[in-house]
Amino acid sequence: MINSKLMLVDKDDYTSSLLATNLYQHGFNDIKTVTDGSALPKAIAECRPDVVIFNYHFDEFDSLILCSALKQMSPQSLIIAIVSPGPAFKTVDLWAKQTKSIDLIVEKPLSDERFFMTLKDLLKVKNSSRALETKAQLLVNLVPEAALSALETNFNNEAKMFEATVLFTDIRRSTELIRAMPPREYFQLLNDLLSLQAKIIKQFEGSVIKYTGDGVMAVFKGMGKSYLAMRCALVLAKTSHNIKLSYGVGVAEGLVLAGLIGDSKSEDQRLQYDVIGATVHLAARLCGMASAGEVITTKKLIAAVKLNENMARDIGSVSIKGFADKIDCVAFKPSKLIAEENTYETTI
Amino acid sequence: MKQQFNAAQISKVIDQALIYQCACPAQVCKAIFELRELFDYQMNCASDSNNNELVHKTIAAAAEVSHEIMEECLKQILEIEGWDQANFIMPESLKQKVPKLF
Repeated sequence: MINSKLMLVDKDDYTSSLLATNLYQHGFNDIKTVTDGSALPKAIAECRPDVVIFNYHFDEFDSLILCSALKQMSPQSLIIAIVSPGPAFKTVDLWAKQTKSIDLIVEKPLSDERFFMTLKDLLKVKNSSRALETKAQLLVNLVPEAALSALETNFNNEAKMFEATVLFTDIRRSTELIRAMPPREYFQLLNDLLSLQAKIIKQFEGSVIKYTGDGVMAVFKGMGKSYLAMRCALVLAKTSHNIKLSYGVGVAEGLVLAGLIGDSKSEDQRLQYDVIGATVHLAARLCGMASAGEVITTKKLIAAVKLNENMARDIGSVSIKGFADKIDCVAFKPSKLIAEENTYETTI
Repeated sequence: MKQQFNAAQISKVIDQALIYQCACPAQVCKAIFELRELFDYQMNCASDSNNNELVHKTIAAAAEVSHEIMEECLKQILEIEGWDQANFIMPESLKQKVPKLF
């Protein structure tokens, strides 16, 4: 038995029943027959066929127009036209080339096994491509937006270096929290929080590069990247005050390297998109220093984006692991300071 | 090339005899179309001065003779099977017999 929906369009009762019987005997048991062209739109809407077999009778040019309409109504359906050889074939072939409304033309009389084998093969291909589409959709949800665009433009594994502002968030006291509440509840809260953070980042034109377990890593590029990143960080920090899973935020700017990393040598490559570099480390370290609801960044970045320094608490020069020189840092606790910013009401 | 049957008539026979198992007249029709194409192709080749005219005219002549034979064959088998020869409609008795094959 073949688990695919077939529609048979044939104005002739005799040939349509002949073909339907034959299809049934070859394991196709979900067949809808349409003999009246005007009933086709309704039938297509109800049936959503995988394949439409269209039996073309000589000199019925109108039915070719119907065939094109059919492709528009049901673009996901595979359309096969069965046509007698000679002039009819030439007409349909020309029509198919001009309109691209027919996927396959088969000559009559149908060679018994060859036609049905071809049909089965086509359905196998169609089902596999449908499965791939479903997987691709799942991947689109799993893979960060930046990774997808990197795949489209940079599939040769070449890393790109560019100026960016990197933002990290990380939940404070997450070990205590996960031990204090049922894991599923924590998981749900975490997912809600990460969704909210991703939404805010997107609103400030940032790209989420990855979820780091208890937080996110995002990158801002282009003109005004640090200004947008800081405004985003302040909104994120403010949001952190109202929720159970409060978190700190770190922001740093500088050169980064982005690309696909992982095992590119073996046949079954396992690669992931990532952004790396000293700037990324610095942003992560600053995030680690930030308390709940706090943003820590460098004085250099704040000077460049011309934020009101009165809002900042000077932390002074700080030794940061992996960096030879001390770095001048500032902290922001935005709960009172940016009341004009949008509030993100949440139940998290 | 003389033609006893036009394209519409031959196509009508093929249209009614959809499946190979019940399509012996359709196979003859198909051969007729192929012979017509072969003839046209060879005549086209023969008219090209770069080609050996005699080769292509010989093939065309053979195609013409074969076509005449197959058209005569079609006429006879349609008669034997009891087709409506004016409208080229398959006889009911044949239509009823075909589903039993499956």
